[in-house]
Amino acid sequence: MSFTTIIFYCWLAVAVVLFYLIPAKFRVSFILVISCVFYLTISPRYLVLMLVLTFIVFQTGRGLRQAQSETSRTLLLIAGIFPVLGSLIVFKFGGSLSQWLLPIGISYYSFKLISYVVEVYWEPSNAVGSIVEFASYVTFGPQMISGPIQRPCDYFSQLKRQREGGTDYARIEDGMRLILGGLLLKMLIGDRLADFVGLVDKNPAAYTRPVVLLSTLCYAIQLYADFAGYTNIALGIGKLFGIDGPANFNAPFAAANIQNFWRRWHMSLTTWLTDYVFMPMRMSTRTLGAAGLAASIVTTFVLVGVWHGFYWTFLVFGLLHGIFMTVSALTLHMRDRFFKGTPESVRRTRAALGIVSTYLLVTFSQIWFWAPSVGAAIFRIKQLAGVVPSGLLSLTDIKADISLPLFACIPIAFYLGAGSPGFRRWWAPVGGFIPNWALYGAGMLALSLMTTESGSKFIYGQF
Amino acid sequence: MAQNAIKERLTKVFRETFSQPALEINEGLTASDVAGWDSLSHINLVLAVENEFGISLTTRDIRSMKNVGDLIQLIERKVPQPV
Repeated sequence: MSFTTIIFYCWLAVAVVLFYLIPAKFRVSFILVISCVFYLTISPRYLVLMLVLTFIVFQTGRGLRQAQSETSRTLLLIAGIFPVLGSLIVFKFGGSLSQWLLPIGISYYSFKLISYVVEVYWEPSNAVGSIVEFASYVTFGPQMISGPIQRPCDYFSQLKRQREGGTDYARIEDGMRLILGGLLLKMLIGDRLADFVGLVDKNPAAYTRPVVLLSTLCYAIQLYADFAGYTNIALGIGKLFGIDGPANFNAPFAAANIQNFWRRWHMSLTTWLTDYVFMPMRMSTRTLGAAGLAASIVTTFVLVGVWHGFYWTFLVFGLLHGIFMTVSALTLHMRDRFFKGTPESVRRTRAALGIVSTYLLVTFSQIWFWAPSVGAAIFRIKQLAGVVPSGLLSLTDIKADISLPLFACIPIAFYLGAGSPGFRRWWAPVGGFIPNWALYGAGMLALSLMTTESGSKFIYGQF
Repeated sequence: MAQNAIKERLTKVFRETFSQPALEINEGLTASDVAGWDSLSHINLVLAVENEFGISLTTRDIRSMKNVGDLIQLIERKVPQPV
């Protein structure tokens, strides 16, 4: 059951109404039940796996709360992480052989489970006493398919609100606005860009170099439209059940260097890896200087890569970002010092060039992210460099219903991904005259009239 | 060591780590309040604090700190007391 189908929203409407009708003390249990029902509709054969891992980690948390010695705490930490990480690795490897062998959401709920074990290891009072509350966190439906990866303390601190009952209409409206915005971003922008990118990717050798270049430049914005759209829908659905989730994107295309980009892109994954991989590793290597820094950064980004799947292309994607990040981290101070005393115009030019070069670095890495094989990625790079001959099909040879929308979708996606600069200023005088219901209605109308036939799958659903 | 003395030495550490000679710190200060205080510079800060006060910090120590006030308390606990 996808977040883009009518049947899902009929089901959601019933679930939300029931959620607010039942006594407040049953709300958390209700979240758990509907999350499991939802999981049954998307990955029924793996529900038991998720529940077993949830039970193991819950018991580990209880053990950590009661453990007295450091040795028993360390053993419990290993006992909690090992089955989760082991399952993740085994099933991710299985998923690289056949998508059928990959339990949907395992990358997301595994990270939730690991963060819980580590947080309780660091601070035993973080352990929760109710398995229903804990299981509702792990299985939380809106975050199951593609995250965002919420931290345990952030989730559990919101359950007090659930137990108190009541209906927060402002949060519900906020949630519905996020869902609508997410659907528009995914289905009107992301899916149209996907039509073009998918068409060129099917046979890149047939197209001219400018078309292949345009398609490659679209990788990042298509992924943004798809994934940020999905995230908004997930956050919106969470709000309907009274849970605020973490943000995943913060104007990534406004980033003027690669470090800044990763603080704005897939934030729930990168902050997770920063806290549980980079920081502990960097602490261990802090006396090794630049070598320790490089090792910590490269390891973290290799994990970012292979988290997507056990493929050589994802490994190269991670390695590339590890190298970009290391070079940037080691030279940023020097560059900042160099530009410190320069005129404002020079610094502005630097910022603009930084935004462009960051986007190009991300695009180059995305060639590896999207390519079905290392050979295909190398062929794409050779084609862009003019080393291999290109085909004859130009943009005008592509069907108009695929090529024409690009003129609107590319700038809109980039503008949104850059944080919609100046939007408040120009919208303020207009927005006051248009009631919210009219805007929502226009959005719904656009969804009903302008969606494409092809799109429905979320890219990050496969991870 | 008194909290005021720790704060004074810590101010010097912060100013040098973040290259901000006029930076003033207070107990409520967090990473989001200081330009350039990210996960990379955080380790530089940890190293500078360890060197300045002759203490050793762990990952768990760092995770438990929510602001500069927590850091001051942590240093107070870790700095060897004069006999």
